[in-house]
Amino acid sequence: MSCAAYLDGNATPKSMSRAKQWTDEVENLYRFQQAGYRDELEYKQVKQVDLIDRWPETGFVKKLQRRDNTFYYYNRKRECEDREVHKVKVYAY
Amino acid sequence: TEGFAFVGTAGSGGLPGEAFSAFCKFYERGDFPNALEHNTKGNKIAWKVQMEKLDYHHYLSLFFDGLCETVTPIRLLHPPGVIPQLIISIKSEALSTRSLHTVCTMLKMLQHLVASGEALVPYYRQVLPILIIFKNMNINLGDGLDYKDAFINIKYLVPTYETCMHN
Repeated sequence: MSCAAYLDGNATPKSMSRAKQWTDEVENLYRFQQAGYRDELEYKQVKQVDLIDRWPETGFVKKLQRRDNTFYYYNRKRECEDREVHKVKVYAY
Repeated sequence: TEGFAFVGTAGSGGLPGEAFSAFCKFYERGDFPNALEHNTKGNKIAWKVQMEKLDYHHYLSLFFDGLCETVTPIRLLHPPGVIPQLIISIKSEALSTRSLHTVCTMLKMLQHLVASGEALVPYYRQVLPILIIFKNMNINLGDGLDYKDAFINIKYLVPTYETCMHN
């Protein structure tokens, strides 16, 4: 993901691939996609927020607001099981 | 919730096929600010209100009632933050006072709470260590209470404890 994508509030991804193995980044992408967003960038674009609520110990996303304004809460530890990893979409900008 | 029948758990007093606990009834009535959602990634609870702003004075007793439920999907609905929230209050507002009267009152409340099941077990190590300061007050039962693992559990958290049972 290029720095320019972060600066441009309306960046759209150029390509998408599926995650091959679990990483911290994949875990967070899983959480954003579970809440109905592509990734952190889209969440910030849609919700117009600068900071995401995260667990301090792990850095994983803690709370997200969905498009219908309900809230999803996530665990401090890993939630994305190995069998779910290949469903996680990784977007490139 | 169409298609779901919330069945009372065994021992809860409910007849088979009947929703029994207050938690079940309130959830079916839509009183809770949450809902269970199903998607391709599994079940997830969607909250209409942020949990930090939840009125625990109103909801706490209801959520505790739900802790006894073992039937899916009811057992998935109680918030993960309920017990940690309680433990914080128990530790900071009651046990840390080290006042005999306050600690005893809190222990009596805990006796009721543990009846809600195993949910409090992970928090024993946070709540019990303060009792070390009272261990030499020999008017208590110690490991004489009717629980076969009482001694080992007390010893784990109060290493200097010696049994009051004499064979």
